[in-house]
Amino acid sequence: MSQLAFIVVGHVDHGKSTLVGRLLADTGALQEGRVEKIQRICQEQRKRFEYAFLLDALEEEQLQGVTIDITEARFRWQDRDYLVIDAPGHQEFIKNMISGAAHADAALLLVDAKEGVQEQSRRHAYLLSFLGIRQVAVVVSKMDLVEFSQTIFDRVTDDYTPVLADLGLRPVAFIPVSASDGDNVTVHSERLPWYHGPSVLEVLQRFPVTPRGTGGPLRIPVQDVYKFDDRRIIAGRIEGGCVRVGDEVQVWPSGHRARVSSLERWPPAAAPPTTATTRQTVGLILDYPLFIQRGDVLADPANPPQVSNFVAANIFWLGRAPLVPNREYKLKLVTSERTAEVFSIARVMNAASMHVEHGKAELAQNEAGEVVFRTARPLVFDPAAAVPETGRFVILDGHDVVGGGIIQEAEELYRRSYRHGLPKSAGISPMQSGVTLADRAVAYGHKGHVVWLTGVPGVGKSTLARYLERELFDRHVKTFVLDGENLRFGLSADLGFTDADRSEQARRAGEVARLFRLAGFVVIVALVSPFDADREYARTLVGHENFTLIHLEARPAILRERDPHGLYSRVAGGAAVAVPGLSSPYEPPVGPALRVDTGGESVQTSGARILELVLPSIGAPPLAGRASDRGRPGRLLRVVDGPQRRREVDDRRGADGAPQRTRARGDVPRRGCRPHAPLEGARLQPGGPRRERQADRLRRRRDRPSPRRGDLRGGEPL
Amino acid sequence: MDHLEALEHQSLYILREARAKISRLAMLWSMGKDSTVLLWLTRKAFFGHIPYPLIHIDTSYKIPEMIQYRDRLARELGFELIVGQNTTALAQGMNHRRGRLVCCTALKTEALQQVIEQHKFEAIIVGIRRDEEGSRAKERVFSQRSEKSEWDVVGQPPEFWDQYRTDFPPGEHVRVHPLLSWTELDIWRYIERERIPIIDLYFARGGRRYRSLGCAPCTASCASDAGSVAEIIDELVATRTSERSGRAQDQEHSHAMEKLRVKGYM
Repeated sequence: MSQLAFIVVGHVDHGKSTLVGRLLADTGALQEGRVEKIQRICQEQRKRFEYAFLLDALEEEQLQGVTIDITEARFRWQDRDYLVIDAPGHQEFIKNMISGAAHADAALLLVDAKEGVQEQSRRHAYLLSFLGIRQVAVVVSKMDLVEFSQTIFDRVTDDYTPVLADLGLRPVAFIPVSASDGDNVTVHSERLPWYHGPSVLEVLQRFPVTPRGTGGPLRIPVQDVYKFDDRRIIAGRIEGGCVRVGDEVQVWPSGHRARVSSLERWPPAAAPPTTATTRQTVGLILDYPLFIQRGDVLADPANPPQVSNFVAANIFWLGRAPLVPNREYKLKLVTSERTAEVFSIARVMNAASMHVEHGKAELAQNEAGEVVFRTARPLVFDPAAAVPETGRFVILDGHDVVGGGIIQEAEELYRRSYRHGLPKSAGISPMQSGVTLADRAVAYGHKGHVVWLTGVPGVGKSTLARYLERELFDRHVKTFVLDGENLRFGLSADLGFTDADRSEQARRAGEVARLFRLAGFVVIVALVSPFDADREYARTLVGHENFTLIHLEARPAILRERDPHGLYSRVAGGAAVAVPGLSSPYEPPVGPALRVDTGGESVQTSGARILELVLPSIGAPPLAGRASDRGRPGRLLRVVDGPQRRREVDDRRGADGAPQRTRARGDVPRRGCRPHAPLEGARLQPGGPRRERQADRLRRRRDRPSPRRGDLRGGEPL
Repeated sequence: MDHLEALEHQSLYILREARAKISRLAMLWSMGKDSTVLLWLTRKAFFGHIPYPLIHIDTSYKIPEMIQYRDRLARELGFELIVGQNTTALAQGMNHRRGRLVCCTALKTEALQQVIEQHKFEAIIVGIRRDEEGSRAKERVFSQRSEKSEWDVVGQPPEFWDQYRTDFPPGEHVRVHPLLSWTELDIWRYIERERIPIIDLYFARGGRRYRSLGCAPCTASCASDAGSVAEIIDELVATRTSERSGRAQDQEHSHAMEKLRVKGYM
C-alpha cells in the first residue's frame, strides 16, 4: 500500500485550498460529518459553499478566507492513497509551508491565470527545490476567469518555465484548471478543447512515491543509549545504508570501532532480526562497551562521514532577526547539536525575486544564501547529495528554529582545522565543483593519497620519492613529488631553516598535498618535517585514511658518509648550521605506517614495501608487476564500471528523469544488506588467492586505528 | 518497508526523541484504541519498558468498563498510573448540562493542567491524529504550549524535515504527538497486524458499538455488526461517516474543537 504525499503551493489567493477541496469532493473522500459542518458554517457566514473551508478549518482562516497553517487531507483514487497537504500562500506563513513540504513526495505549483507568476510562485518553487522535492507539476488556476484563453495559459507557461529551470525543477505538466467548476481536475474539460495534456488527477497518478533508496553508506545517528535492564542498547534510526549482525561499525566523532552483536526487538521474536535497513529504527548491542552518546554517528568504516568544525550550506532564513556573524546559534543535525557561529556569508539570494547579492554580511528573513558555519565541536555530517538525511540541519536562535540548511560538497573546507589562524578573507564560501572525488577516482582508476616521507637530511627521502614516483607512474597512477628542496625555489622562497620556517614549510607542503590529493593524485612528499605536530597537522588536513607517514632512518655513520649537501661535514667543522637530528631538533614520528632503514635495505625493497601499503589504499591492485607487464595498458582497476554507476545515478532520478546531482559511491566497496551479498562498487582485480589474502591482511592492518583515534581496547601501534 | 511499518518507525523515532530530550515526561492514556497503540509503541520503542508515567484524566463520567480495563492493565503491566480529576469542579456539580465546552474544559483541560502543574511535567505525549478533525490537522509533532497550556495555533514553529522543536523556554511545555500521521484505519490495521489487545467496547454488542470512546453522557455508539478487528476494518473502508460523529462536544459549535484545544484540550 503506497501513499503519495503531495503538497499544493503557490501565491496567496491563487486557489490552492479550492483545488484541494475539489479533489476531495470529486474523489468521494469527504466524510458526511465534514460536508454538513462546512455547509452549516457557510450558512452562518452567508456564503455559498466554499470548497476551501474543508481545509481551512481554523476559525480565523474561514473568517479571513485565507489559509494560515498547513493542513492534510486524504483521498483514495483508483487503488491508490493520496495525502494532500495544503500550504498557506501568504509570505508570513512561509514557515508553515516548509513544515508541510517536509514530508511531501511531490508538489503542485498553482499559478492564477489572471495574475500570473507572483512573488510566492517563485519563493515556493525555490523552497521545493531547497527541501529536495523534485516531482512537480504546474496548475494554471482560475481559467474560467480568463475565458479559458490559450494565449493567457501559454504566457504563464512561458513565464514560469525558466524560473523553475533555474531551480532545477522541470514540471511534468502545465495544466489549465478551473477548480471551482472542476475543469481538468479529475477528467478533461470540454471547455478547454485546445488542451490535450493530463488532468490534475492523472498527473498525480503518474507521480511515483519517492523511492527511499536503501543504498549508500551506513549512517545511524544515535538517539539514546538505554540501560533499562542488563542490556546496553544503542538506539537510533538508520538514515542511510543498512546494517547486519556481525558488521563492524565506526563511531564518529571518536573513530572507535566495534561489531554489532545483536539487533534488539520487542516483543521478542523467535527468530531475532539479523539485518535492518534505511529509515528503520534500531536497537543495537555492540560487542565492546564503547563510550557512545546521543549525537554520535555509527558509520560504515569503509565510507566515513565528514567530521569537521566547518560546514558549508545553503541556508534558508526564517528568523525575524537576521542571521549575523559573531552571534552564537545552535546547529541541530539529526540528533547532534553544536554551538555554531557564522564564519562567512556569500551569495545571498532573495528567494522571491531570485536576485543574487554579493558582499552582504547578513541574511534577512526569507532570504537564502551560501553560509559557512563554524562549530565549537566537530560536526559529523555528509554532503546532502551523498546522504540527504545527514546532509541537512536546522539553526536555532535561543529556543526557536530560525533556518534550515542543506550541506554542500566542499572538500576544500572539510576535515580542516586551522592551527595557524583562521582565513582572513571575509565573505568567502567554497565554490562547488561538478566533478566529485568519486568522479575523478572512476576516471583515473584510483583515489588520491598522500605518502609523507620524513627523516633527517641525507637519509634518502628524495631518492626514494623519485623511485616511487616512477613506479606509480608506470602503473598509470597519477603522481607527483613535492620535494622540500624544490618548494624552496618558489612557494617557500621566503623561508629559511629556522624551526618556525621549517614548520611553515610543512604547513605549505601539507596544503599543497591536500590539493593534489583532491585532484586525484598520489602525492609523495619528501620533507625533513622535523616536528611531530606539523606532520600530524598535515594528516588532519589530508584525512587520516588518505595519509601514509613513512619514517626514513639510517645510522649516523651512513649519514656522514653520504652527506649530499655537505651539512654533516660543516657541522663537524664547527660551522653554525641547523641540521635536524644533529644540531637542531628532529622528533621521530611515534607511529609511522612504516619505518625504512635506508642504510639496511635497497631502494627497490623499501619502495616495494611502501607500494604494498599504498596501492590497496588507493583502490589499485596490489603489487603484481607493472600494468604493461600484464598487457593491460590504461586503466588498472575496475572501479564501478559504467552500468553500475549509472544505476546508482538512476536511483536518484527525479520524476522528470533528470539525474539529481549525486556523489557516485563507486570509490569504495559498499556493503550489501543481504547476508553474503557480493561487494558492490570498486573491486580489486583478481590477483590469485594468495595475493588477495595478502591484500586483506594489508587492508586490515591499514584499518587498524591510529593511536590518536584508537579504540578503547588500545590498538597496538604499527 | 510498507506504509504501516513506515508509520511505526516514525512513531518510535518520535517517542525516543521525546524521551531523550525531555526529562519530565508523561503519556496521556485514555484506554481508547489510539492510546492503546501508543502504549504498545512505547513498549516497542523502549524494548519492553514503559519509562514514563501514564496519566488518565478521569471525569467521573467515563463508561464504567473503561475504568475496570484501566485498573486491570495497570496491574498487569506494572506502569506508574496517575489519575487526574478536577475534584473542585466536580464538587461544585460540573456536568455536561452546563454546556459541553464548559464541562470539557473543566473536567478534562483543567484536570490535565492540574496534573501537569502538580508533577511539573515538561511534556505530555498525546495520541491525537491529523485525520480526526480540522484543528488537529494543523498540529505539529512537537507542539508548544504556553505556561497556561494554551496553543498559539497561528504562530506555530516550522518543522523542517524530522527536526522537531525540542527546546523550550522554562515554563512552557510541549505536547508530543507520535500518531499525528496515522489514520483511524491505520490504527486498526496496526492493531490487527500486531494483535494488540483492545478494550471490547469497540466491538459490536446487540448491533451497536463505540467508534470513539469518551464520557458516557456525550459519547454515542453507532449501529454496527463489527465483532472483530477485521470486521471493523471492513466497516471503516466502506463508511463515509466521520469518526467523531458520536462525540457530542464536537458538534457544540462550528469551531468547538479549536476553541477547546487553544485552551489546552488534547
